[in-house]
Amino acid sequence: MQSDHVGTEALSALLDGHLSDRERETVEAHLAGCPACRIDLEQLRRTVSLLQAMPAAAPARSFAVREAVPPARVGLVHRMARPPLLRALAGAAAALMVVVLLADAAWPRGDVTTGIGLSSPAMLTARESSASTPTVNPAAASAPPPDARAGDSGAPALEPAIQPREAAPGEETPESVATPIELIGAVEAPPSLAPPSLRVGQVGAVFLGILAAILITASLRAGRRAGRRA
Amino acid sequence: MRRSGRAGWVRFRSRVAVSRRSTSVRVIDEERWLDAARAGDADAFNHLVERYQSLAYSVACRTLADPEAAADATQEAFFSAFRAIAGFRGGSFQAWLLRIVVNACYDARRYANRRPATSMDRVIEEMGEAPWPDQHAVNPETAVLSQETLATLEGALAELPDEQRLAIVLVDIEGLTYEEAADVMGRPVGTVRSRLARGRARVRDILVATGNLS
Repeated sequence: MQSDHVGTEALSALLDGHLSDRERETVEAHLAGCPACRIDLEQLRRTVSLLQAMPAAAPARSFAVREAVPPARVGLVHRMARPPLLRALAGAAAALMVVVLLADAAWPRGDVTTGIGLSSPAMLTARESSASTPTVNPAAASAPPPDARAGDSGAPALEPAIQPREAAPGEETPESVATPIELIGAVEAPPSLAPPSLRVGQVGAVFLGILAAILITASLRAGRRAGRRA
Repeated sequence: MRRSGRAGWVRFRSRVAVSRRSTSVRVIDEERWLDAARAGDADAFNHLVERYQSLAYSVACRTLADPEAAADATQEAFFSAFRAIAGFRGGSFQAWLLRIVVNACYDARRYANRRPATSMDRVIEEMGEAPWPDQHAVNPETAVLSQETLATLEGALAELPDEQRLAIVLVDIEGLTYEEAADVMGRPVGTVRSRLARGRARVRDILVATGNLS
């Protein structure tokens, strides 16, 4: 196309009456003497005519909103199953996982304070401890309290206070821990009061997490199917 | 200018025609509903939904070329609009709403691009025809549009850059003015004019290349 021909934008705007009077006069003057541009205009006019003839899509349903649109509808929950059984199960599993994780985290480990407070009995039985729990560093177990904070030796150092009473030196609870109060309680009370093993909490949390993920996935899938039917 | 000379066109775009005929009544209603909707009145908002859902859905359909995805996006857009209505600061509700609809469509497309989509071909295959039978009956011009031409047009629209397609959808298919389209697109009128022209030229080239336009 030569530079003095009418550009597509001018032709398109001409079709919609969106040229200024001066532009329109110029364009029309050119069109009068230029068959190529007239063909261009005619093709564009028919294109627009075909586009305008495209049927407007009629909605098959109403898009009315209900009284209170919960803000959460945008996110994950919105895409989950409308019959909320799976959603509830997934939520319960996720919540339980959080509870287990929190309980696990909140359950005090053998920290420096307890290490100091009970260092004497711990040291008394340090040899037993190292014998029953191979992971314990013998040096740390027999060292003075300040050293007990190094690594995970703080917890093993406390263990002997319980383990002798449990009479289960081979039992696999090397990470078992307790607060000073509970530890004292454990010393005087039946050994069943000892806190649950950390490993149980972690395994439980991982299991619950996987369960929640599976349920959420299933629920999302069901939600998509339901959404298509709706 | 062209519309006044084409009675069929005006009849077909009855929605637009109505909006021009009784503008004042519509505006008064709309402002009353908007005020109530801003205060959380879902019934009032649903009056607005009723008024705009055809337009919203139609724009969504032409943007996504997938009736189901378009329906979902439209519903999502109305939810979003209801949640955000308190923040609507006047101006054109139509433009505000259509912006939300278009954004919902783009979001849906991004989401769908990560998984297999329902193609328009399959929908037509399943239904035996394009899924707008009532419109075929209403608009005599549609009879002229063969299935092949319609499919070519849909394919051409799908190929266009978003802004060119949106300009065509709003102005040519929905019958909005340049100014109204500019309001929806958040662009100057001149930009709408050039996007529209480029989009039309591209569609024309495709129609010529496929033998739908001599």
